[in-house]
This record gives sequence, structure tokens and C-alpha cells, in this order.
Amino acid sequence: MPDDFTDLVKSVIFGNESRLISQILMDDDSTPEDDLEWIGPYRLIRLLGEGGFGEVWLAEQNDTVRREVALKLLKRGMDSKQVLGRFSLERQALASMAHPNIAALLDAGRTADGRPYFVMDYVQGTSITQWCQEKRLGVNEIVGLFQQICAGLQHAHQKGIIHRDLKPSNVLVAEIDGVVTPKIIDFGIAKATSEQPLDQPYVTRVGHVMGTPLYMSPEQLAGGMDVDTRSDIYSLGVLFYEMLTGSAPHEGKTQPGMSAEEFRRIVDAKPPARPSHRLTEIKRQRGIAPKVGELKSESELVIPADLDWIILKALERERERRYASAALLAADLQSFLRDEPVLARPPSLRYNAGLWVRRNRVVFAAACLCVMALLTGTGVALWQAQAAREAQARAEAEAQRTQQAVSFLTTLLDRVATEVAKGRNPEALKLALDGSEGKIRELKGDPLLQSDLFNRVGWLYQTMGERGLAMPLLKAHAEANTAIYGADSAEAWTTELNYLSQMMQHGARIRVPDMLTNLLVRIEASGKAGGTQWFSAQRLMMQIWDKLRQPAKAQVVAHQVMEDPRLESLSPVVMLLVKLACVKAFEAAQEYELADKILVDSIQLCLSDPTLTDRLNTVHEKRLDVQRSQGNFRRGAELAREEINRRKLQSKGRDPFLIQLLLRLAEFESFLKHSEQAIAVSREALQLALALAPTPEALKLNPDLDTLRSEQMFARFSVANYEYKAGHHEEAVKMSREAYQVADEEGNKSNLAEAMLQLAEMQEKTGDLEGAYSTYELREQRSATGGANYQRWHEDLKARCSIRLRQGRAKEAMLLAQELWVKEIKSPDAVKDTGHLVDVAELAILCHEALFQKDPQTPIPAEFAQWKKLMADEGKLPTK
Amino acid sequence: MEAPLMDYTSPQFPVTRWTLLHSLREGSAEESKHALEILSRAYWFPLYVVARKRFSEIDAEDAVQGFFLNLLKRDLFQQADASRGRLRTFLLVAFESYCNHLLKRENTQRRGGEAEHISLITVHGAESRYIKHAEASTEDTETLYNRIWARTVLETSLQLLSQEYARRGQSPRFQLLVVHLTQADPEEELQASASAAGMTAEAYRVALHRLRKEYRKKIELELAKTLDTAEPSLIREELNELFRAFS
Repeated sequence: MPDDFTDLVKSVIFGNESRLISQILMDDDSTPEDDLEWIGPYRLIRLLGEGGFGEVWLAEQNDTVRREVALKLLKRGMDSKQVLGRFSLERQALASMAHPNIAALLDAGRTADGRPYFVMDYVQGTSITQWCQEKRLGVNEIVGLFQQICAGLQHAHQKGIIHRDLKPSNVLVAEIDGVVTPKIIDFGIAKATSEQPLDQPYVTRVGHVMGTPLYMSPEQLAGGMDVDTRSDIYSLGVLFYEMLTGSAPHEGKTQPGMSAEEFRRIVDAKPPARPSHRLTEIKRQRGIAPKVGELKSESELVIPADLDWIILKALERERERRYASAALLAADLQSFLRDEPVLARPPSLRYNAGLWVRRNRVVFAAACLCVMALLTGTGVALWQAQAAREAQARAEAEAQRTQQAVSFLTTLLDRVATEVAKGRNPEALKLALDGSEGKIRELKGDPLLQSDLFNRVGWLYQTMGERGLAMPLLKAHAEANTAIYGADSAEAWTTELNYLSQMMQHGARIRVPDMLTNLLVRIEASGKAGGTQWFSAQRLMMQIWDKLRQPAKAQVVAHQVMEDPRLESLSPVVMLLVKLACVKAFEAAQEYELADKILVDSIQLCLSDPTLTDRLNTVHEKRLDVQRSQGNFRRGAELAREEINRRKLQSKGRDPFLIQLLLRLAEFESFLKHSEQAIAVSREALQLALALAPTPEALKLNPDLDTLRSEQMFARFSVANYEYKAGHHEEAVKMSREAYQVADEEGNKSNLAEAMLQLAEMQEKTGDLEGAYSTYELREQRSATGGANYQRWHEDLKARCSIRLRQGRAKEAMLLAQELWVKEIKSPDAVKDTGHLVDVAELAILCHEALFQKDPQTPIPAEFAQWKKLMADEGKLPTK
Repeated sequence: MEAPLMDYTSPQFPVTRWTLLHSLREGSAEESKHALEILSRAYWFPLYVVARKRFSEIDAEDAVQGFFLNLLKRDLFQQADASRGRLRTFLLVAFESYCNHLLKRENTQRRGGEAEHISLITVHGAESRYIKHAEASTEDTETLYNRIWARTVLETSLQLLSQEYARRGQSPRFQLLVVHLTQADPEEELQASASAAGMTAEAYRVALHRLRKEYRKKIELELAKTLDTAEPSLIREELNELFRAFS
């Protein structure tokens, strides 16, 4: 035998039998090529490909225009009702779409022997992934291309069509008149979302129609009928991943011929690696055995973290956690391109963190100790040791370990931050973080990491309420970014703005306007006036004037900003934030009509832009705020009622925002002295909060629902207040007590403290002074165990002192005042807070006076002079 | 013994399929030899797999060899009702019964002197193929047997096709095309192979299409031989059987 292909033949067949046979079965005996040279005005040139029931031909159109087209023709013998239905569905799907990024339907008809066909754009291009590699595109170029694909898919989705088979070979790039345009082709197994699924087993039986599982969403792999537009979002994520890294997320873990079920197990087992990590890995592998010509281009490609999060959000296993639409995905990419915060990161981070902490309560505590170890030396030692290594191999291993330690540390910080944001303040963590600034400063070897850690730890302190500790870290972060990116970079400006914004809220407020002006001048000098950072600085300027009680100055800025035409070229999110700052300025300057007009426009903006959907509620609330400041309660109630009715209709009464709206309406009713209505409406809000309360299972899936439980508490506060105002004291105390119980069950320390305060105040107002006293006492004890900051014990002690004073138990009051004073002086945080000290001094003086009235022999306390001086310095003279 | 495969027996499989056995039994020496060649090409290895589940390597080989000899000697035909069921099923039932018979007997008598006179086609490499395809299989005998049969048909046909390409001096072309015969590979790989072959992707696809059509003809020819008919509906039915063997 001249050529023996026995082994080759066997390897081709083995494992592929059913696919092979099914394909052969699909071929019909009669060969269509010979007798089918012409179909209508189209001359068939060559076969481009075939699917289960159709053949796609390259054809030439020769009537009105002369052009090459793709002609899809139903195979002979495939004219069953079901197949015909599917074929015509594809044609209809194509006919309903017209988008530059989708191959268009040009014509349709039937052949002489009655077989249907349709004619599409012939896209003579390369697959999108191949294009990215061949052209050695940079990140921004890839993102730009990908956004176009999103736009095409969004169009299809809006027409109710799901593609279901997005993969590189179905997204081709063509250069049309010099413009690079990606086009989505082959809506062959697409189906109209409104239709019942066509016979799915048909598709699965003929294996090759299903294509590779690499691009299929988990729900598609599960073989369910329940596939929606979010499946396409997943496939988009895979595509994007591959465009950037050159490989699909689970590639490498799979083998050819693997079944969907086997593949699903792989996908379920482990989330995909972050694209940036994958790219690093690939570079590392190539670095060992570099391929000619590849190394250079790829080593230039760096995937920023935000892009990682965007891709991973598209690739979420739970489709509820993916982007809700292709448009949102594209919009987030737009934010990325403009160096603005992306949507993707916080929710998924919070989700992961919540899940992680829930599963690992014990580990969490241990991990806090690890942070401490890392920050107090071990990590740093590892770091420095690396440089000293002589053996290259050793150093590499070390570097890798350090890298792991650092990435562990950074993710851990994120997780801890989430915990803190939820009102849990682990004491161990604060201890662990103490002195971390100095340790971070030692990490000079890696400025990027250093800068990142400054930011994270600073942010963490900030969330923990430790403003004084946060400020220097945020400042260091700003300086580090300036050093890394240059003084005139968007990164540097953004961090500086962030720092100034913190300074405005918790620092030397009065210096902020000058520093902002300085920043604005610098931005303008580098020609970036009118950009995102410039407008953000203007926004901060309005906020600072507002804080400094100079509404006229804020108003001037607001007018300038609103009249600036460049405002319209900002991304929707930034534009909205700037406009809301203007609203606040106009509100403070009593230009209510203008404020309301901007808000009405903003509502329209939110409704028309998918990236702003989340912010619609805020704008509505703001609008009610403006009516309230204006004292126009009737109009406020009217607006609230309108929106309530609209939402009730839209959501069948299940929109959580209804709770807020009802509470606002109750407030207006109360202002209007309609106390019974206020009670009724606030009770309706409470009922809704209870009805929407998440089950523990739902909470596991979506920790964000936690806020609904807080809503129950706040609704009870409102009911309690209106009951109190209507003179129903017993009911008011009962509601407050319930709120306390709910907060206690929920386990959120901040909410608990709030609820206990509310209860104590209610008891005090309704004359139950003893009850109030013991509630304050309990609050102080419970807060102490939760790592409370000084504000809380200050409030509690002060309240208890006042109660004793009101009860005429001056001696006890005096003791409490002195206890409070000593505590204030000893607490390093509290002692810096002059406002608090003055309050305490005033209270103590009052106590002494009460005692003195009872018994003129009472000795003057040692601190008395100090108290007097404090009062005098503040311009508050004692009431003697 | 209750035949385990009666599900497949149905009147729609006509007697024509039995003509091969008929020629084996009743035909001239030439006809008989031809029939044996066809039968052993299609069934030698599937039966070997069945035997291997019960016997050692050597004994399994002997069993299959002996079985075909017995077919020639016609002494097994009393056990099956040739008017019912298909040939493939009959062969399995008959073979299993032959194996039972062997187990009861002493091993010594099995090696018949006549064995040297007939050449059977698929003996070579049987054991290694068995290890690859069937040793770890936990499927029941019938499923396994059908699957091995189907795979043998696919392999034999493609092998014959490769020889045809070789005769036309197109071995390199065959080699380049056959790897994508199933067309299940990603478009990118197809394109890579096309450019490796110096063809455009479209030309490559057309050549692939042609290869598949030729392949189908070869398969049909093989099936026609064991069925001893070229009746398209029966061939089509047999193709469906091939598919069912893997589903």
C-alpha cells in the first residue's frame, strides 16, 4: 500500500462517530451543485459552509447591482414543517434588524424546486479574535471594536432576537471604505424571544449545530430551554476575554469532543481567571519559550483591573448578576475609556465578600490577624528578601509568593471593607491596621502596589469612621499617583479630588476652596478644561461653598456650569452628578424653580439612559427634597402621590422604592397636619417593607436585599413618630421597641444603635424617663462590645446625664457628667473634637448649678475653671 | 436461551439480508470465499470484542476464527430462525451460543486444521484495538458489539477511500482534508488548515464537502455488501443503525 493512513483514519473517527454519521445523514444523495448554478438573479459561486439544514453559498448578484452576497439555502429533503418554520424564523429575525454591526438581509425567495432561500450581506472578513491578534490592537482599540459588537447585539435584543451562538467565527471584521467594522453573522439558531422554543432536541441531536461549548453560558450548557438575552451577554464576555487574552476563559481545561455536561462541570468548578492574570500567565509561559514575533506585541498589552471586573461581571454564573443588557455593558466600557468608575466592581465585590464572610466566619477572624502579620513585617520581609536573592530561580519563586501574598492582602482588604460598610466593626481589624501607613511607605519597590494599598487602607479607615486616620493615607495616595502618572494625569487629578472631598467632609474645610481653585487652574493649563475631572472639581466647589454656608458662591458656580455647553459631552453619570450638585446649590440659594426644572430634565435623562437607571430614584427623592425645603408640602405630597401611583401600576406594587416614596408622602402629610393620613401612609410603607422582606434563601443569592430589612426599621421609626404626634404614646413606644427588636435580629450594629437611640428618645418624650435611662445604659453597653467610636458613648452618657438632671437627681447627674468628661479627655479621638467638649462642659456646669441650688455648700469641681474657659472660648457664656 | 436481541427483530427487515449467509452455505467455493471475506471484514473485530470479554487474547482469537469456520460448516444454522431478525443480530446470538458451547467443551478440540486455509482480514492488531475501544467499557454486550461494528464500518470505508486517493496520487490532499472531516472544529482551525494546504477557506470547504460525499458512497458500498443489496431505503435504514449505535 503506497500510503497507509490507518492510524490517521482511526484517530479521525474515534470519538467523532455520531457527529460524522449525523453529518453524512444530513447530506442528501442528490448533489445540488450541478443543477443549481442560478437561483433567481444569483449565480452560485462556491459553498461557504453548511449547518444542520441549510447550506450557505457565496453568490454573485447580477441584476440591478453587481455584488457578492451570501445565500442561505434549505437543503433538499429538509422541508419538514419544523425545519421550514425554523428557517423562516431566521429569515424573519434577520428582516427585522437593520444595524451596521449585523449582516443584513437583502432578499428572500424560493428556488424552482420550491426550497426557500434568503440572501445576506457577504462579510468577507476575519474572525474578530484573529483580527485583534493580527493587528496587534491595544486595549482601547479592542474595547472600541467590542463596543460595536455590543451595539449590534443590543439592537438584536431590542428586536426580541437572541443569537445563542456567539463565537469568534460568527463575528467577522471587515474594512468597509477604510472603516473597521465588526459584523455579527449567523442568526441560524437564533430564536425570537417571544416565541415558544422550537424543537430543541433537534439541535442537540445533530451535534455540529451546537458548536463549541467554550462560548456557551452555564444555562445553555445545562441544556435548559430557559435561555434569554443574558446568555448572549455571557457569550459576549467570553468573546471579549478571548479578544484581550487570546484564549477563552476555560480553554486549556477542556479537550476537543468534550460533552456539554462535562464542560459544565468545569465551568461550575471554578470561576474563570481574571483576564489580566491570564494574560500575565500566557506571557510568562511564552517568556520561557517565546514564539517569534509574538512576544513583543503581547507584552505591550496590559489589562487594567476595571476591565477585569467588567468582563467577570459579564461572565457571572448567575445571570442575574450579569449586565442586564448589552447596552449597559457597552456603557460601562465607555466609563472605563473615560477613566470613570465602572458599575461592574462594587456589586460583584460586595457579593463575593458577603458570600465569603458568611461562609468563613472563623477564617475571617484569622484573616484579620494575617493582615496584621503582613503589614507588620512578614510581608515586607518577603518583599525585601526578594531583591537580595542571588539565584534567579529562587527569586522568581519568591516573587510569585509575594505576589500571592499581596493579592491575598488586597482582596482581603476589600472583603473587610464590605464587612465594615455593613456596620460590623471588627476590633481586631483596627488593631491590625494601626501603623500600616509606615509599613506601606516601605514598599518603595512597587509604587503601583504602594499607591493601591494607601487607597485601600485609607478607604477602609474612612468606612470605619476613623476620618483622622484616613486623611494622611488618602493624601499619600494622591501623592503616589502624582509620582506614578505625572502631575497632569487624569489619575492624579482624580485622587486629588477624592482627597479634597474627604478633606471637605472631615478636615480643614476652609482650605478646600483655594486648593480646588489651584487644581482647576492646573487642569485648565493642560488644556483639559471641560473634561470629566474639571467638572468634578466644579462640583466639589459647589459642595464646599454649600458646606461653608456660602450659598451665593455656590450659586455662581452652578450658573456657570449649567450654561457651559461642554456639560453635555460628559458621560451620563458624571453629567448627572454635576447637575445634582447644581440643584443643591440652587436649592440653597432658593432658586427652587430652576432646581426643579433641572430635576425634571434629569428624570428624563435617567429614563432614557440605561447607565442611569439606578439613579432614577435618587433624582425623584431630590425633587421631593426641593419641595420640602421650599415649604411647598402640598406640591411635594402631590408629586409623591403621582410617582407612587405610577410605580404601583408598573410593578404591581412590588417596587422597593415605593417604601421610600410612601414614607416621604407620610412626612408631607405630617407637615400638612394630616396626622391620621401620615399614620396610614407610613403604616402602608411598613406593610410593604414586611411583604417584600427577603427570605433567608433570597438573601443568600443577593445580599443587597439586606437594605430591605433596614427599611422595615426605618418605616417603624416613622410610624412611631406620627403616632406620637397624634398623641398615641403607647403605640409610638411599641413601634420603637419593635424597630429595636428587628435591628437586633438583623445584627447590623449601626442600625441597632440607631434603633436604641430612637426608642430611648421616644421613652423620654413620652415621659418614661426611667425606661429611657436604662435604654441609654443598655445602648452604651452593647455599643462597647461592638467597637463603637466615641460618638456613641458620648451620646449615651450625655443623655443619661440629662435625664437625671431632669429628674432632679443632680448628684447622680454630676457624677455622670464627670465620668463623661474624664472619658472625653482620655479618648484621643474625642479630645480633638472641640464641639463635643464644649457640650460636655456645658452639661457639667448645669449639673453643678443644680447641685449648688440644692446645697450651696457643694464644693466647686476641680475642672470647673476649665469648663468655663471652654464655654467662653466658644462664645457661650454659662447661664448663671 | 432467550435471544436477548429480539427487540430489533421485525418483519421490515427482509430475507434479502440473509443472502450472504446463503451464499456462504450454498454457493460455489468462489461465492463462499467472497461471502466470508465480507462477513469477516465487517464482523471479525466486533465478535472478537465480545469474545474478549470472556476469554483470554489467544482463546478469543481462536473463538472468532472457529466461529467463522463453523459458519462455513453450517452446523450453527439450526439454532437460528433465518426468516426473522437481521444478520448482525443473528451473528451475535449465534456467536454467544458458540462461545457457551466452547466453554462447556474441552479447549483442545477447538483448533481445527482448516483454520490455516482461510485468511481473515481484520486479525492484525486486534488486541491493541480491543484495549483501546472496549476493555474499559461497561456497556452490555449488544451495545458494545453494535458500536464496534459501526466503528469498523466507518474505519474500513475511510481506509478504502484513503487508498482511492492514494491511487489518484492525492494522498497529501487526503491527509490535509481528513482531519476536518467532521467539520466540528472551530472556523479558525479550518482556516489554518486551508492556508497550510495553500487553499482559500472556501476552496478547502468545497474539497471537504466532496470528500465527505465520497466517504458516504464508500460507507454505503460497505453496507450494501453485508446487506447484499443496493436498495436505497435499506441502506438508509442501515445508516440510521450506524448512528443509533453511538447514541
